[in-house]
Amino acid sequence: MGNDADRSSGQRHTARRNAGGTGIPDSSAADAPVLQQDPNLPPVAVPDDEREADERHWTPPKIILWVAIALLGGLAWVMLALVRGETVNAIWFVFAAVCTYLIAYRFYSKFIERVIARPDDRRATPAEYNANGKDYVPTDRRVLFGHHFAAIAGAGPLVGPVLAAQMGYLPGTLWIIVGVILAGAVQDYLVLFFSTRRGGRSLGQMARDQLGRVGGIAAILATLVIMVIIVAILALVVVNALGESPWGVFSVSMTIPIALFMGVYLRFLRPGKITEVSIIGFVLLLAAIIGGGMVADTAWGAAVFTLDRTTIAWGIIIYGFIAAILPVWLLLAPRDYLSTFMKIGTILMLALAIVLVRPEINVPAFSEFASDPAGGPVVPGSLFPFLFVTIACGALSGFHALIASGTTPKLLEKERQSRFIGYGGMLMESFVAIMALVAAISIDRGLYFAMNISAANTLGTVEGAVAYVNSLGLSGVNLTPGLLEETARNVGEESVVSRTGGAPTLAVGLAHIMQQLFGGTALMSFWYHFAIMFEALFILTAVDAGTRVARFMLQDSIGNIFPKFKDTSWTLGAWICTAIMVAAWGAILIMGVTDPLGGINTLFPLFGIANQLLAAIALAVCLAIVADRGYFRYLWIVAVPLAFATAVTVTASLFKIFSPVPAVGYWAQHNAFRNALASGEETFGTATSREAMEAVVRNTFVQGTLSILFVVLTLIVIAVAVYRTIRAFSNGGGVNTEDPAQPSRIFGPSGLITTKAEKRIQKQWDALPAGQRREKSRH
Amino acid sequence: MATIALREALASVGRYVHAVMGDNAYEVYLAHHRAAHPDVPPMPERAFWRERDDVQDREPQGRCC
Repeated sequence: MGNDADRSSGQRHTARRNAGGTGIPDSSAADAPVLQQDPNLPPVAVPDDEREADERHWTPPKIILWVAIALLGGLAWVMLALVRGETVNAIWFVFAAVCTYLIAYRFYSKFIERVIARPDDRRATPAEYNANGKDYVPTDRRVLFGHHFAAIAGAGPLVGPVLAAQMGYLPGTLWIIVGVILAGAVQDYLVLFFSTRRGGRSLGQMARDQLGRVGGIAAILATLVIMVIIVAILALVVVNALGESPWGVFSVSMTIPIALFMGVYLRFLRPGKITEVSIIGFVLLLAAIIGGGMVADTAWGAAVFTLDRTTIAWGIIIYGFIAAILPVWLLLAPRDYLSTFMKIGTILMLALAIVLVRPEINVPAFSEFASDPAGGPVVPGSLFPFLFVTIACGALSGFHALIASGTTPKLLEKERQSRFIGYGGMLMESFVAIMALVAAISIDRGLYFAMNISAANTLGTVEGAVAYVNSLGLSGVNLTPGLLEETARNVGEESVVSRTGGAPTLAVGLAHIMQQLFGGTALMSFWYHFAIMFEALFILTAVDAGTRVARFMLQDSIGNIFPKFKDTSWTLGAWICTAIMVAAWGAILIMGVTDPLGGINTLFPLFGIANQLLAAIALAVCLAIVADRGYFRYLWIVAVPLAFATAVTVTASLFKIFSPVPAVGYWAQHNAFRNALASGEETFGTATSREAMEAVVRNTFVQGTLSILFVVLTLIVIAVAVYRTIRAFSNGGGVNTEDPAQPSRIFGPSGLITTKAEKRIQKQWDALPAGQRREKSRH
Repeated sequence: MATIALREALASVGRYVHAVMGDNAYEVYLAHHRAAHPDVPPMPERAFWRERDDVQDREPQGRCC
C-alpha cells in the first residue's frame, strides 16, 4: 500500500529538525506539535503573522464594501420585518439572506476558526498523508465545495420551509438565516474539521472515542433509527407527489430505464465520461417529462399510470429493496450523477429566476397560526418548538454530520479550507431553503392551504377544500373553486387539493415563477413536472443510498454478535440486512400513506425531530472535543446551538409524548381512539370506520414509541457529553483524540478568493520542477 | 478579444463541471500513481472505473436529505 510508504516518509521528515522552517509562531502549546518543513520546498502555509496582519488591515475600499453589505442587509431586514405593506418583494429575501451570510462567513466563522478550530496548514490532512489517488485525494477547494454541496443538499431544505410557511414568512426566514449561522454551519464546519484531524473518522467512531462505550452505542443506535425514519418520510413525500398523477408516475418511472441505460453506457461503452452521459441522461429526462404529458392525455396512459398512494408506496418499497442489492454501477451511481447535475442546474436556475422575476409576496409576516398554541392546519403544534423542527435542513441538519465526517475530510487539501467547505457549504444550503420558501409563498395563500391541508379535512374535493379553507377565517384569503380548477389545469393534474408533503406546493411555486420568465401558462405544466421530477430524483437517490448505509451499519452492529455479518462480501447477509432495513422504513411509509389522520402532516415533525436529534448528537461530540482541547472560554460557540437544539427537540418530543391535545400528542390521540373503540363507536374524528380507528391506534403507538426511543437515546448521548465536559473542566482539559501530526508537503489557498500572500506562495510552487512537487488534483 | 475571453471562461466552467462530476478521476489517479509508485504499472483505465463503482458496493456512501 502506498499509505505506508507515505506515512514512513512523513515521519522521517518530522524527525529531521531544521532551523529553516516557516517561522510560524506557535498559537498554542497543545495545538502545535513540532512540525518541521522540508527546506527544499516553498512554504506550505501563509505565515501566521502575515495572514493575521492582512486580515486586520482595513483599507478604505474594504471598509466601504463591508459597510455597503451591512447597510443593504439591514435595509432588507427592515423591509421584511418592520415595514408592513400589502406585499413584500421577494428580492428582499435574497438581499437579507446573502448579506447576512457574507457577514457571518467573514466575521463569525473566522472567529470560530481562530478560537476553536485553530487549523494549522503545516499539518497534512488525511487526503495528503493517506493519498491513494482514489478516495483519499487532495482536491481543489472549489471542486470539493461542489462535491460537498451536492452530497449535503437534497429534498429536505425544499420541503420543510414550505410546510412552515403556514406561520407566515418571517418565523421561517429568521430561523433559516439565524439558525444556519449560529447552529447549522457551525456544526458542519466543526464536524468536518474535527474529523479531518482524526483521519476522516465517521461521527459514530468519533462518538465512541470521545464519549466512551455507552455514549458511542447510544449514538450509533440513534443514528440507525433516525436514518430509517428519514428515509420513510422522504419516500412519503414522493408518494404524495405522485398519487393519482399519471404524468408524474410515468416520468418518474422513466428515470429507472434512463439510469440503467446510463449505467451500461458508463460501464461498457464509454467508462469515465460522466458529464457526457449526464447530459444525455438529462435530455432523456426532459423527453420523459414531455412524453409524460402526452401519455397522461391518452386513455390507456391514464388507465395504466393513475395509481393510488398505497400502490405507489409498495412500488417504492419493492424498488428500494431491488435498488439496494443491485450493483452500484447499474442504478445508484448513474442516478446520483443525474441528480447532482440536476441539483446544481436547477438551483442556479431558480436563483436566477427569483432575481429576474422578483415576485410580490402577499403572505403576512406572521399568520394567524403563529400565536396559536395548537398551531396551523398544515403541521400541528405551537411555533416553539414545532417551527424549528419543521425546518430542519436549511437551518440545522444533523444528517450533514455524516457527510462532513468520513467522506469530505478524505478529499480536503488543507486544514484551513474546512471553513470554506463546511461553513460555506451549509450557508449555500440555507440559501436553497430561502429560495424554496420564496417559491412556496409566491403562490396564492388560499391555494397554499388547499394544497397542504390533509384530505381528512378537505375531503379531497374542490368544494370541500374551498369550504374548509374559507372557514379558517384567514385575512385576505378568499379561495374560489375556479382558482383550484385553473391551477390543476395549468399544471396538468386532475386536482391539486390536498397534495400534501411540500413538494407539489414548491413545484407550483417554481412553475409560477418560471412561467413568468419563459413560456407563460402554456409551459406551467412542464415546469411543475420538472420540479416534481427533480425532487423525486433527489429523494429516490437518498432512499437508495440511505438503505445501503443503514444496511452497512446494521451488518456492522450484528457483526459484533455474529462475526459472519461483518463480511460485506457475504451476499446473503447483505440481503438479510437490506430486507430488515427496507421492512423498517417500508412499514412506516405504509403507515403514513394509510393513516386516516393525514399521514405526512403528523409524521413530518418526527422527521425534523429525528434530524435535529442527530444534530444534537453531533454537537455533543463537538462539545466534548472542545472541552478536551481545553478551550472553555469559547465553549458557548458549541454549547448555545446544542442547548437550543436540545431544548427544541426535547420539548417537541415531550409534546409529542405527553401533550393532552390529540392533534399534537401521539399518546393522547392513541388513548382517545382506544377509548372510542372500547365504547363501541363506529366513527371517531376523521376516521370513518372501525378499521380506520384501529389503524390510528396502531400508528400512534408506533409514532409515540419512536418519539420516546429517540429522546431517550439522545439524552444519554448529551448527558455523557456534558459529564465528560465537566470532567475535562475540572482537569483543565482532557485526552487528545487527534491523530499524530504529520508535516504537509503541499500548498493550497484557504478561501474562495486567493489572497495576495497565497498568490505569492503559489508562484513559488508553480516554479518548482514537476518531479519535486507532490501531484494534487486540480481542474 | 471579448470572444476569446468568453471562450476561456466557458472552457473553465466546463473544466469545473467535469471536475465536480468526477470525469477527471482517472487522471488524478494516474498523477498520484506516477508520483507515489513510479516503478509499478498503474491500473488500466477500464479497471479503474470498475473498481471505483464496486468500492461503493462494499462501503456505501450516504446522500443527504
